[in-house]
Amino acid sequence: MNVSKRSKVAAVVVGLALVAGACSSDKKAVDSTTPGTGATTDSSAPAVTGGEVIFAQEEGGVAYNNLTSTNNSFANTEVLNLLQPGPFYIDDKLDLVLSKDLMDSVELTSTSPQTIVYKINPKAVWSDGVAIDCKDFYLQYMSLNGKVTMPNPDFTGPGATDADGNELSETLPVFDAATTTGFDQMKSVTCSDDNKTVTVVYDTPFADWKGSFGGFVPAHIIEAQTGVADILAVDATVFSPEIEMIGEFWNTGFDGWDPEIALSGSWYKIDSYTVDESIVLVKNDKYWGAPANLDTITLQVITDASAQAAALQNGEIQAMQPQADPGIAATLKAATGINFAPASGLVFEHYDMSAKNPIFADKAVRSAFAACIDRQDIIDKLVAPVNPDAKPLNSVIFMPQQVGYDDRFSKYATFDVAASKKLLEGAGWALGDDGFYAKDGQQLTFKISHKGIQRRSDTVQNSIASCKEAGFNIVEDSDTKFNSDRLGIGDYDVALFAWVGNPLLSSATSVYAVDGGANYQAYVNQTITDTYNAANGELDEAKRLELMKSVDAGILDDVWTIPLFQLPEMPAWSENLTGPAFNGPSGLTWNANVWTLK
Amino acid sequence: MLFFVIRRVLVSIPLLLLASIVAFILVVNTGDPIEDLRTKPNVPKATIALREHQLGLDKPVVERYVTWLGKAVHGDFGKTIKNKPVWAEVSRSMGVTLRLVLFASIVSILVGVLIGVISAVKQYSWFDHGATTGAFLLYSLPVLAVGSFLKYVLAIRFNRWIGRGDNPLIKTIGESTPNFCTKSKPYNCGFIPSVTDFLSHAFLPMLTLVLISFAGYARFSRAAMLETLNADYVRTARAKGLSERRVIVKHAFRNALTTIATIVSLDFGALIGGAILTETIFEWHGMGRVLVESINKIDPNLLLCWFFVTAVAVIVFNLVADFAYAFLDPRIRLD
Repeated sequence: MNVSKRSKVAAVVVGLALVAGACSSDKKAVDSTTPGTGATTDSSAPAVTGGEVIFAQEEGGVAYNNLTSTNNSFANTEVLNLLQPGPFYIDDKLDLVLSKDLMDSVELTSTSPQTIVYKINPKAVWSDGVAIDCKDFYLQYMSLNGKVTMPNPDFTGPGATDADGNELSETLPVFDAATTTGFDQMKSVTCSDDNKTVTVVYDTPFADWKGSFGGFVPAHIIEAQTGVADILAVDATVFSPEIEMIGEFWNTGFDGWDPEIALSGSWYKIDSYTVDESIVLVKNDKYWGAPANLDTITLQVITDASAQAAALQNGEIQAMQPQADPGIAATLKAATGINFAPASGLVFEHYDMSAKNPIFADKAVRSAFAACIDRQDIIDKLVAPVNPDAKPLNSVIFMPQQVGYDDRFSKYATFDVAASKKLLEGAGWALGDDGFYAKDGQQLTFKISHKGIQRRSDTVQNSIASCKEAGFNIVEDSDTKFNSDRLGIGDYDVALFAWVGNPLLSSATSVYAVDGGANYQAYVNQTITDTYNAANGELDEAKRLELMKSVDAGILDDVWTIPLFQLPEMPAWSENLTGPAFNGPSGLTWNANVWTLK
Repeated sequence: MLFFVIRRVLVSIPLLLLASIVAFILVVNTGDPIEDLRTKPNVPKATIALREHQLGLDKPVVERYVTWLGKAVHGDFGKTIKNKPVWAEVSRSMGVTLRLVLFASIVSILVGVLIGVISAVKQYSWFDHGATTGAFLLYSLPVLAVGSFLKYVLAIRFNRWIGRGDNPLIKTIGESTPNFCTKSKPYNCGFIPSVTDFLSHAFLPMLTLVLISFAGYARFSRAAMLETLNADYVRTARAKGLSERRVIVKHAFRNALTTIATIVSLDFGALIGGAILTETIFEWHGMGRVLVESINKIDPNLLLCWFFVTAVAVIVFNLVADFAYAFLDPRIRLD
């Protein structure tokens, strides 16, 4: 997903299929210095409980159901980290960790067909005292399997088109699902008699199965609100009046944060909500696991990053994670009483060359282009003012903190003008009097297109200058409608935009697979596609990791895409607060249950 | 008078219609409301089709405008892209803006007019020179600079100086403390604690608005007063032996007020649209923020409603300016 900064991790959550909201009190196991953040939690000191903390959000959470495409956002995730239960949570290494508070066990009991058995802790209850059980799993399967559709009222017959001339679909989904990944491969979800054991059988193997389920909404609330007596009695894959009612409520009924509807299955519950202003969370007295430390956590909407910084200095808030800004970073570094912990985020900028442009057909040209980009210089100028530790990214599948990450790209993208020229000359390109290479009468010229934001313009200008030395004639193409109108149809020579790193390694399949939905550059490598598909169906984690490494290496060896750098993040918190640790997909509140005030 | 009001209201209708068409054209060209969704790699195409259908993006622009207008005249401004009722959002934000702007405007006008009148009466005195310099200085300072300076000096430094660095007396964000009045703190929900909390939040943004606004009123008042003080009828009033106080208040100031009232009315109409920068700096979620966010998030219905409300405000306060003009100057007959 491209990327205004804040949509970024929102998209991660979509890609993650749901795990982002899933956390557990056994997060205490990760209390330690978090690499790259300097954040520490003093696990040796006795826990101090009580107190109130205000955490600033740039954008307010708007809905308890974060799984709709309408409402899915990072802002919701920051709230839901503390409210919604899930079988797994993502730690700060991007590992999926079992939530031992919610689950007694989760086991892969068969690989053919793939079968997962979830055993739910009998003590697990929603904040109204009703059990968290198989119904909640079944509702999620029903809403995200993508199979339930209804007639499209605008469809007048075959060939009917919308205002833009696009063919209208005969049906529309009942559920406004942000993603169906994984759930669309499930064959069945069945419950034990006591509803505390869930058995999921897949049609086709899905290696990222741990990312399925999480961020539950309470099924019994939907039953009460819609009048459907028993959700388990409703076929989850077939349209019916009952499922239409369930869909209507699931789509919009959880908008806002009504404490009677937006129940908690975690450490905190909603005390009050002021639209566009704040959400006040207090301890969930029905929580069955180890209780959180702080009495109250308030998430206050402060849209302006500099206002957040001033509020932190003024003691009005205690923690924040605003958009990175060099000026504000300098202020926070100089301020007293504040922990400033810049880190590399999950959003990464990259250049994609389009296979539609024949100039890139020769790998030598692609490699020469990679060699003339001074990634370190770009980072020094654009990223280091916020995060001095930033480095070029050398993978497109793994993030540096993930198991499996390795430098697979420096050999192509270490800035070296001489090497770039040598590659071109080796491929028959000749340097002209104008200072640019040409071959068969065609000059080595192309455009780099982007959405028209300053950082990208600066990146492109840097590359134009450095590649000019290597004989490339590159032109900047800044277009505010690039992402909406052109990127998706591959209308570019080279595109500069961002993807988001994801703990679920299958998430980038559509980006690199032949004919993948997000393969805008028309990249074709059938071997990579086959390997990627094999990896997505490989249930042996060690074997899968090796397959994914080879996918990553294969994509990078083709040099159709050039990863540049991760955008910086700049979480900061009061020195009076201990415990915060940066977590890319879930945000700073992911472990707020262990935060303490001095 | 009645005829004048009816005529002006009737003229306002095509004006509003024209404004709505221009606004709609601007809005539909702002961008794609579901651009993010389209470019996320794993969003099902069916979901995108559903969102297009829900937001009416699959309809021609003219049909979308007619549908919007038909609902808007019945008071239904639709929903935001996050599915929240637009009018609830805008009316709430209007309340926030009014709370911020009303008091600040009254103080600005009173202070500005007073300084302007004194400057005119004591033209070229030390007071006049000082007020002129001060007014120009504040008038030319960016809101961002004034707001940031006040935050640093009067909030961060001051609160630490009085030993309230962790529990600040002067706040820099919002119009209330979010966890101040909660179920667990009912004692904070009374009138006096609420007002106290409000004032601790409102002090800086209101001071900022007053500082940057009063200078303009002072300059306009001074100029208007100087014009009337040099008029023949003022000379005549003095020649008749009226007291200087009566000359200034009844003859000069009364006539100068026509100019001031017009400026105040028009300014206030524009302020309904939001004191955009001040609201942003101090995180007051008023009309200014509605504008900024609806543009940033490409939220067509919200943006259209903002345009509509501000257009109505400008038209209404133009009308108010006309009435004020007629009221203050009996020579003007609205009919």
